[in-house]
Amino acid sequence: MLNILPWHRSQWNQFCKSVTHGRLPHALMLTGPEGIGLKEFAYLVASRLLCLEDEATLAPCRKCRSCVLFEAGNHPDYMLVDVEEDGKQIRVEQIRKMIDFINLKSQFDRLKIVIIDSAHSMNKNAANSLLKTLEEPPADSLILLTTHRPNLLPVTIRSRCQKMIFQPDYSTDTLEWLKRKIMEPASAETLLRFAGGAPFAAANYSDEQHLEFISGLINDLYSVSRNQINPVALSQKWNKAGAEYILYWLLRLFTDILRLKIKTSPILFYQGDSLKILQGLTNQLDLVQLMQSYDLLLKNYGLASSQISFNTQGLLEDFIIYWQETSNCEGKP
Amino acid sequence: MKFTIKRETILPLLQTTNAVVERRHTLPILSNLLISLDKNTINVTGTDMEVEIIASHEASNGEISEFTVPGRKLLDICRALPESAQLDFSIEKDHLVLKTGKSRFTLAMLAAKDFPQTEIASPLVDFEIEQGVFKSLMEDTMFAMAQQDVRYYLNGLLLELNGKTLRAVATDGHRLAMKEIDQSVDISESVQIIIPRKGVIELVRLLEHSEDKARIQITRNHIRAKLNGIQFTSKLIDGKFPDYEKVLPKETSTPLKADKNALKQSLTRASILSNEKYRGVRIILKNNSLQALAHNPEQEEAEEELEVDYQGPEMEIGFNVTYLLDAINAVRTDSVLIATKDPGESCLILPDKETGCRYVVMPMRL
Repeated sequence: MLNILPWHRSQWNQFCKSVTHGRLPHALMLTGPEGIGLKEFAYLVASRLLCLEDEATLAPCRKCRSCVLFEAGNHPDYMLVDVEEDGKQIRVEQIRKMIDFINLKSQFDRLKIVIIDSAHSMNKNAANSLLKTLEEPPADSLILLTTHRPNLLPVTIRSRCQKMIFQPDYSTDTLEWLKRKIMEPASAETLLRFAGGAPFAAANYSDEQHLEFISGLINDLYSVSRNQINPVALSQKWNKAGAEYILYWLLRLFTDILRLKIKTSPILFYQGDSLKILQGLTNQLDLVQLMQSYDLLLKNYGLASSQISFNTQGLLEDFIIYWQETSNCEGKP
Repeated sequence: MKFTIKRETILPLLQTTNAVVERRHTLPILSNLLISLDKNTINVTGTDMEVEIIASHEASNGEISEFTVPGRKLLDICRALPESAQLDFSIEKDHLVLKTGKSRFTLAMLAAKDFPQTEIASPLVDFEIEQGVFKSLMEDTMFAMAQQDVRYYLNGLLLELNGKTLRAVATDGHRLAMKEIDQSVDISESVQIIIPRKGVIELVRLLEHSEDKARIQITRNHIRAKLNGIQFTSKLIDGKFPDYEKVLPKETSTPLKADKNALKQSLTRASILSNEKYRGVRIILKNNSLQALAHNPEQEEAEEELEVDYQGPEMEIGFNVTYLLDAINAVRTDSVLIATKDPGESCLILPDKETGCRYVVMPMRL
């Protein structure tokens, strides 16, 4: 687990530089798409800083007392705050416990490190209770926040952290890494594209299922635009599959439709007639209509994945009805 | 690995160390105790990564071994076994087997190398002190520690050493308790440490009211106390304690002198009818008299009057009665001195004819 991943190299170098120059920030926010390995990077940073062997450019030694304890997850100068098993949120009690911890002196007389994983899952109270510590952290401490949805965090939190951004990566090194992780190395590129350039997410996908799923989704969209399916029946079907999931993939699809509209190649792969249908829909609608559909999806996806529970079927219906009206009226001569 | 031990030998070790073991912790190893055997001792370690307690006892087991087992479960088993039972421990694969009489228990173990044992740096301060003296030093001040205050440096007890004296200070921003004792220590400059609340409570529990010595070691990050067969270690709070000497009021020339128990009882009675949330009482000082008045939202009222020794100006002050009682309770002499200059200023509570103890309580507006 504790190796530098090929697509993390530039960020790792940036981190090593800040260590050697003594410019390590007190709070570092790691952002990037889900499945790009933010937590893994945070682990590596933490174990490097806690390792008793001083060699800032190297990976942790994995032998010293500190490394052994870290790998067992029992390091006394390290704390992980994440969403507990049976919940969606990071609660205020967890943050308070963390603050108590970080205000104690360190065991090994080095840094005290806290990782807040999926920091956007902090509820409002948790985020607020973190502010004061983030603003005036104790000496010799580092708070690492990872989030793939930084916009859900209050601006007051974001402005108090130094940011490190991880971009989607499609490079050959990354593909090589992925090929070693999956059963069928040949499909590595397809998977990486599905995952939007997030290698860990890619390793969890299997291409056949997703190709089928995407074509199904495209067919649904087409059926709606031709009045061939009852919107309520479709929303029920989608809701069963998981509203957040469907909305996410619709967003991905519309990204590609928009890319087709401005004559760039799509990110995802399509099988069979899917690309043709997609192209047809693209030609039929103008850019403003497509953007509006995209905005609606984005809004509804935001609501579906928020900490407040919405009627998700309603969110889906909202989009389907909008899509039906938009794509129909324009379709008729 | 095999060893045999008497129930009465291991039980106190488990009881002492289980105090810091949390029943349900996010890190499984912290609900375990580390048991290590060397040639002639058995050491049991419990930790929550803030406070660590090691209890040791002589035992001629002849084995050298280290393992961790669920602390609470082992304690509950040992407690429930009949008196003076002989316990036979052995390790089978990755389980600890405990046999005694016709009972047999198999407990899951976790790797001893993963147990976060505390290693401290070389101490900056190292001295011996009578256990009873150290215990009462902390007992007389710890009640004023803050609880879950955002000013995290107040959630603990300050110990200050200047070579000649040892001082303990606690405050929560509304009241302050300070006690000083003579303690010569070989140091070049004064040392200030803040022991976290949990550490203070545990240490006081371990110390005995006896003349036995405790050896105290202080490093940059830890305080360690070695008692008879017990080693206590706590992390320190990383922060600077406020400059408390500024808030200590000057003693007045005309302090009030009252019988401690009479005053305590009088205030306790008055407090019953004070507002449950704010606990306000109005204290009226006149020549040789102290009146305590309290009332609550239900329009119930309490009036107490007490004869005291007072020649100062007439005054009317409001106090949180809990703070007053805490301070008066900590006074160990028969009579107590209360010095206050102005209803808007903090009030000083002292034991009579004894130096070293000071309690400050801020007044409240009623």
